[in-house]
Amino acid sequence: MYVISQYHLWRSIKPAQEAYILPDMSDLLDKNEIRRLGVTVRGAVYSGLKCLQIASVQSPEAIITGTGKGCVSSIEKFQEDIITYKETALNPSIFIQSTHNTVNGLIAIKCDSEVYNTAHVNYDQCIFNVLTDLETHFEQGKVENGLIGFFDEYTPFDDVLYEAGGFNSSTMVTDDDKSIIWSSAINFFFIQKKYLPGAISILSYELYRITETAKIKEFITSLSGTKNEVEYVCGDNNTYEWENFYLPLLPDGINSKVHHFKHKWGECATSTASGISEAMGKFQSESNSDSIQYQVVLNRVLDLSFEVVVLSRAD
Amino acid sequence: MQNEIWITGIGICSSIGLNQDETLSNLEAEKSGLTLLNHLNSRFVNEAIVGEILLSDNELADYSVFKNTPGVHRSLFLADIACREALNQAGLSSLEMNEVMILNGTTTAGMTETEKEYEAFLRNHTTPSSYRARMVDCGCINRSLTEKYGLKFHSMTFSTACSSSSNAIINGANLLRSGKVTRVLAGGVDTLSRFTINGFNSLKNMSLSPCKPFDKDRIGLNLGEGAAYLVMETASSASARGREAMAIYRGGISTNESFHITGSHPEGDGAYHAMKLALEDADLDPADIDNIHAHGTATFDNDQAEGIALKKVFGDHPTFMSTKGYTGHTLAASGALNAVISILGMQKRKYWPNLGFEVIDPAHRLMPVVRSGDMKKPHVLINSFGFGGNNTTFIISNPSGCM
Amino acid sequence: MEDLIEKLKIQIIESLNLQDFTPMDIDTDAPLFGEGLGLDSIDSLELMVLLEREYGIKVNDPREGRKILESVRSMAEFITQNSSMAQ
Repeated sequence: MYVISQYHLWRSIKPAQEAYILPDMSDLLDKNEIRRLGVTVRGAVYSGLKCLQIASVQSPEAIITGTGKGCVSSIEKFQEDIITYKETALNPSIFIQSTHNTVNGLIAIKCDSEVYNTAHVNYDQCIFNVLTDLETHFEQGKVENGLIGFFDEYTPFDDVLYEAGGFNSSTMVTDDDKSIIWSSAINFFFIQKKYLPGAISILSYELYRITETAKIKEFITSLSGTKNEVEYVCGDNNTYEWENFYLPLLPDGINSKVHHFKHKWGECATSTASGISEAMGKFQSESNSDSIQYQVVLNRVLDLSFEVVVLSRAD
Repeated sequence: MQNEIWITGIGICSSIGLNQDETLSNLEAEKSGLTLLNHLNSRFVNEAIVGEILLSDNELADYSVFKNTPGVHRSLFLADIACREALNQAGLSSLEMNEVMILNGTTTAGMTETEKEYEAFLRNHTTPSSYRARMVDCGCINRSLTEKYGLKFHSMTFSTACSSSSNAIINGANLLRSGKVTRVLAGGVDTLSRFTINGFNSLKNMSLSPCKPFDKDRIGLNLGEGAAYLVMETASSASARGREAMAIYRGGISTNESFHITGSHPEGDGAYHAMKLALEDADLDPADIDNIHAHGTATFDNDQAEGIALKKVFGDHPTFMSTKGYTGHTLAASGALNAVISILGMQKRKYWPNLGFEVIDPAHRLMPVVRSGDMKKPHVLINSFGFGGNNTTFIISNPSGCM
Repeated sequence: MEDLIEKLKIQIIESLNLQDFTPMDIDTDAPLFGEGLGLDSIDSLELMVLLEREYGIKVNDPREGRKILESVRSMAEFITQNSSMAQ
């Protein structure tokens, strides 16, 4: 599988009080099309279309999304209105956006695309599931390419929930922050079955229980390539998570080849996708040495699972 | 033959029964499970007609292995009841259970509890329990079931509105065909909640009286709750375990139309394509299909589109029916419920009538079956069409072949 | 009636988030659906929410709703005839 293009929103975490800001979307969406949509739905639809535009693709052969909790702000708003209006006179637009595949449907309408189109919602396993789904379609000769996308939305109730669930929570970023920072994120990728010059290959992707540290270490060690060719993109917040959850899994003495991403992107169910976007950025940045052949994305979501995605320069 | 996909266990619970036997008994009696809404904290209690399982959460808990697990919710009870029925019927050892991958379809998941908690938080700043905080997303059902039953750690959950469990089944079959998994437990669950009742009411496509699928004067759907699951595995895997097929998954397709975010194409283009592609995947012709288990929600849009599409594919006299008049529209679970009911019918070589129909719709002039009858051919085509334009059709067959 | 029509135009713009429109851009007698503003079935449901919240009028059948919502004038006339809350 070859990543032809990517587009993401909100790499820099905002404090909870600030709204997530959207770019100018007039190149792909007019105001009439998006007037009833919430911020995350707009952002996700735009990101999907932008990703296609960058890849010069009019209509993908598959559309597959992954989200942990969908567009939570719409769910919450509808619940609040149920109480306020005592179960009368409620806005259907808000209910529609609470459906997890609304983004899928809107992209299909914009692309005039009548293809395999589904929404995965298995929380931390979304990236693994979406990649499995697309790869199975490739293997079975059903499609030659696909638009995949991941989106998750932060609301202040997240902090309440995760505090209750036994995880620390914070809404501000500082260098000394030892907390999980809940965040919205949108990451879309256009993937092709056939090789294209300049594309990045998804070499492999694995899913582990967090207890399977020996297996994870074994897998990472087994990756071919010398130390100089591999960089690690780790989903820790650069403090206690790094030392406790990630460092023990990596080959010795690789500190210089590690990038941490979660203190920049924040945590959400589909944060592995943020790691993939970060790794794609590393491949594309000028300062990145040509000798770097592999970016290994490692991400642990809460105490649920560990995902490893290996990306490589296809050339 | 060894690549055939066999269904070796089925499980179901809905307003017409907590298991296969009760469900079959009510189908044979042509008894609807629709009643006035009973148990929610909602103004629709005693106002809306729904397909409700008439047991409180505490009463349902008595049927579930999760009875004393903290943080549980109604969807988990229903999923557990139906999953265990299917798994027990498939007769799996604990090692074989480790190889089962669950593919689940749901839209509500823990909503019945989440909506109470969110209200408590809004009113009094009450924080949820630590257990409940981990059961807000759709994947929480899989996490609970995989841990409890010892299933494969890797699982999938789909949320494509009304076609969710059909997507679970079709994807399960695809994964089996790909050789990536040995066996799957595929299906779906949804419960009645204040959120969904108000949601569908806001779309003004919910009827407060019993629904009338395909009827000219239909005014909307009745919501329902339920769960249904299939154990599916390759023929070689099942044979190696000495199991026979209850039914065969012949083929199917999941596709999308691009007409409107909630409304189906009025000429049924999306439904038409789904059915044609599914028949192609199953290597069957329309003439091979004797029985169509329609989506038939009794909304104005769906039944018009589906009716027109049925006519285009099958001609003027297809044998089709909707079971929404028995169970209500169980949203994500509806495709899997249709599958299990169809398999129960296959075992009796029977189909049951479409409840609620009286007057032919001039849009297509088709009439669903209004009396029970004998299945003359082994294949059943099952439709589920969801919001966002997601259209799924799959075909299951009686393993005895010709009747 | 004219005051109601003006008020309705503002409410329609707000309720449907028609950002680039002012009341002057909405023709009182032009069709709201199809041509003109090009509203769709979800918009008609949203306008029925407006009728209920602002004017206390409940319309259950969406097809009946479309007739009432044909134009701003037809909305104003319906409100005048049916609402205890219209001025």
